[in-house]
Amino acid sequence: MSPTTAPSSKTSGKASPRAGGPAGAPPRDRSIDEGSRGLLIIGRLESPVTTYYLILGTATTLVAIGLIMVFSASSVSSMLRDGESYSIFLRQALFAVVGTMAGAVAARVSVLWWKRLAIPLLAAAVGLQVLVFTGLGYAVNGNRNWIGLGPISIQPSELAKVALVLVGALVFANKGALVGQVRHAILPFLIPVSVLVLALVLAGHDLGTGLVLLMIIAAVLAVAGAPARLFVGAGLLGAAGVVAMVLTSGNRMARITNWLSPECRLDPDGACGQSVHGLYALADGGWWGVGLGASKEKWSWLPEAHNDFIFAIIGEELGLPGTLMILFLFGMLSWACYRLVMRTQDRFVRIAAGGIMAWLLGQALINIGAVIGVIPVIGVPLPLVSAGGSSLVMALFAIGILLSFARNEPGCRSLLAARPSILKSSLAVLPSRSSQRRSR
Amino acid sequence: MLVTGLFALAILAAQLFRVQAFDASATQAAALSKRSVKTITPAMRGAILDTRGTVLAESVERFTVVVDPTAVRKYTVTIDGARTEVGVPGAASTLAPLLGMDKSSLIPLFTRRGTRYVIVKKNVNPSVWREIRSLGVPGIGAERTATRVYPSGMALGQLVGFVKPSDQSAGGGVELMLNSSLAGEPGTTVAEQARDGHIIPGSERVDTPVVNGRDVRLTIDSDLQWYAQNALAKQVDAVGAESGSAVVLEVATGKVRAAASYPSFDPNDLAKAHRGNLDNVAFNDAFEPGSTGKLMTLAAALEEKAITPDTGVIVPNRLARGGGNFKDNEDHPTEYLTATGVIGKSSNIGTVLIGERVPAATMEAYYRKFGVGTRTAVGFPGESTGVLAAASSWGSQQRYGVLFGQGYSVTAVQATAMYQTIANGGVRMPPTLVEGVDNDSGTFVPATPPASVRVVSGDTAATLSRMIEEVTGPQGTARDARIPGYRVAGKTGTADRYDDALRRYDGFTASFIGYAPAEKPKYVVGVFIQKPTSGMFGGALAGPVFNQVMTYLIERDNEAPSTPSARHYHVFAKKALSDSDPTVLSDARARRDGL
Repeated sequence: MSPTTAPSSKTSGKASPRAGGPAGAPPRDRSIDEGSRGLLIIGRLESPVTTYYLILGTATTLVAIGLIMVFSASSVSSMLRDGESYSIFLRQALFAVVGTMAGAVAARVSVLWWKRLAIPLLAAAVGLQVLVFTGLGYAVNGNRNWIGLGPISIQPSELAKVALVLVGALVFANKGALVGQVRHAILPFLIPVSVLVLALVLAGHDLGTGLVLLMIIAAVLAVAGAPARLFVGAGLLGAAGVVAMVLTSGNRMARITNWLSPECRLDPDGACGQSVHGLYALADGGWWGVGLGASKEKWSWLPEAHNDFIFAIIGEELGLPGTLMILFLFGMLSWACYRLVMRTQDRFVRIAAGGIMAWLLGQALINIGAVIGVIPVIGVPLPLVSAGGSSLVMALFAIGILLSFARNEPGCRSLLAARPSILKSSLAVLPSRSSQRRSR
Repeated sequence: MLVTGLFALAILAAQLFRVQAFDASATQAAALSKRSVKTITPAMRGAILDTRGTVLAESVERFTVVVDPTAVRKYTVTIDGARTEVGVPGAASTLAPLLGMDKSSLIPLFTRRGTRYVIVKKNVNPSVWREIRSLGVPGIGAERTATRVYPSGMALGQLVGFVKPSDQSAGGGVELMLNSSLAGEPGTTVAEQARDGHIIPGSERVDTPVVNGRDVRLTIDSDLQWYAQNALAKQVDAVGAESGSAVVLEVATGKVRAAASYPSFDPNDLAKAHRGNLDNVAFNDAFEPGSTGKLMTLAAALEEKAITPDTGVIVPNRLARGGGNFKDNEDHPTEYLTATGVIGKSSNIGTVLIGERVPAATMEAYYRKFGVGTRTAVGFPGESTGVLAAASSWGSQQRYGVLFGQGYSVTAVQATAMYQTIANGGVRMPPTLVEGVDNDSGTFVPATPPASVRVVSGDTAATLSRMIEEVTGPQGTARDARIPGYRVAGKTGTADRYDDALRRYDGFTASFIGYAPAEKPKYVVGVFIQKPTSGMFGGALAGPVFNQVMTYLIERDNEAPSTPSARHYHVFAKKALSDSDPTVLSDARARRDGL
């Protein structure tokens, strides 16, 4: 897939008239130029800030829907666990605030600083991931990928995703055309960095995060323009690795065989109970949903209703409009990443944006695919939506990185700076004595 | 890469359309059946009230507390502001005092394996259940049930009947008789439940609304019944009798105001009840009435103008009829009685001499009009019809035995109803037990009274009533039934009792049926003592019970003392009677008349 798109994106990026266009040119002109390439309506939306607002808008909407649905899906289990129905929601809201601040800071970090931060972030991620295997670490549902620091618990593998993306981008941005050689494609990004991170994550038995990391690595290599034969080799190796992981674990093997067994997929009390109840929830929702808050499956029928299976509750309460909206938002977010990849001249930005896109979209696909029964249940949260502190904060941090890249698109920064602040523009609609006089 | 991603999203979207829209209905049905619980709401059984609205039987709400052992483990309470899981031991120690059970006996119930439904305790009061529910122990639930309570206990056990404790279904008595009104229809509610058994709010839907049973009101006066039951029980025990019954009928209406039966049982405690005591013998036991039946013979003879109250009757010590020799209770020299004296002194021979003047078929017709041989309109469960064969099939001795109460059988209620007929001026009001039943909106609807039956003329009834006052007179057989200041009409009965089990006659039926004040009676009281072991005569055994019950009624109703009757009848003929006197009844005249 990607090996073909990546080189073409490189060339088209250079050949694009936009790339050479003067920064801060009037947006209207450019949209007319490109009107022939797409629908007129999309063309009219074209502007230097389009990517920025696409990312901001889709991420904000996803987090907002996520908070609402986490509240709805977790209310019953919170009540049972803590005696109050909003405990999980409040934690999630707090993480959303922390994540928003992290994202806001990240959005203002320059690309140069991202290049400088890549290696330290990786070091921190690896360091934290190692801590998982010390006394600080603990397992949740058989996955040892958590560390507890006082009242808060962290999933270091989430940080590892960001770090891997940034380091990959840094490495391949510096290598330039050398990536075409297998040796340069492998060293040092694939071996030892990626292998180390993967090994640490898989040592904690977290296959889900491992798969997401594989997708990130593949995307980074693809966008960087690694040779196709590397993909064949690495692909085979990766597949062999996954098969080995599956075969060596009875639990994983059972998940696969259960997924393939038609009886299991009908038994709401069996090994596939979670999956079956997920499908029950989606079917209950039907075309238009049972209404916000009215889910029945969240009444402790569907395990992890606010977490890995929140998509099922979205389907139950909001129906097809809700689930299709989520798909649409991830599609839009991917398109925004794609715009970043296509429009930037900076290889680092291009590779990092591609990596983050692969992360967010890939993880969403794995999660949603599992919920609706297309793939086995692997156990990854839905990015930006599911409950979970580390996941949400790091996803918003990644969104912040994307925003910082988007701000560096030609013309974007100056246009953003020229806009009045939200406060000012909000106050502007109020009548003021002086402006009234002036208008007369 | 974007194309691949969007393609994957498109595949997911397509799958979503399949899962959520096109193929959803089968999954929806499976999900619903997984979550659905059907609960049956038992119908509240209607109450049984007495004629004044006193509750004789009612259902009270109770709960069966159940537990899901898989859920109770997660019992969590707030101790000093912290959520602490106290689990089964915590739940057991919290619930033990409320349930009145030991902690040690609760723990095995809460930890039983392989089931999610264990009954903890039945018949829990609603207030206790409300307290238990407010604790919010997971897995603890309750099913609404009803328990039947009989405030009057023993006194009305055999009349009101009972419900089976297992399922509250009707077992006997009025409970069974009026079950269709009392039972109601259980309702069903369908709800969706959480995995732990909580009902999901807003998911409840009534499938079939519950229809509660209707209240029924009996003609019974519970105070009177209680009094009669006590008086009867004392006497039955005192004379060592097998059983006894006491029936009070309202003269003007035929309503059964009391139907006591002893030995009784307490329907509140069925486990202790003796199986043989569940039936009400006043309705269910048929016996030969004996001398009380002579009333009908004399009524027929008076109505057919065969006698007047003062018709002389020559009563020999023995009378040969139908190949047998009839005799009276005691040997006596030939007596010169009047018709009044015959019944007053309860002479069998005299009654035969009177009764044989009415053709057998006519006599049978009178008996049937008095209600003999027909089950009463009450329809009490297990009620006996009694036996009265057609006159054409009467044997040669039976034709004469019938005249003084042998060779046919009646129930206590049927026997008492004969006297109600005479007390009511010759009009029989068929006995009834039910005043009415509430309709669906709770409004009382009186029962339709059965049609009355004119048996004899008012004059015949008045004459006969005055004649049987002599039973309690100085020469009569029932001195014990006398009530000072009041004229008491009635008749004793002492009959050989046929024992169905032994298939032969064994013991006696001692009875007294009567009413006071005789000139304006409100109630007829019949008392029947079966198989007494000390004494045998109706006057001595049943008379005192009659006396107590009748006195109770007179005092209760503040009856004015009787005034002397204008009718003066003699017991003994004023002069020695002659066989040849054509107005005098005698064996010789009978032979002359070819009887």
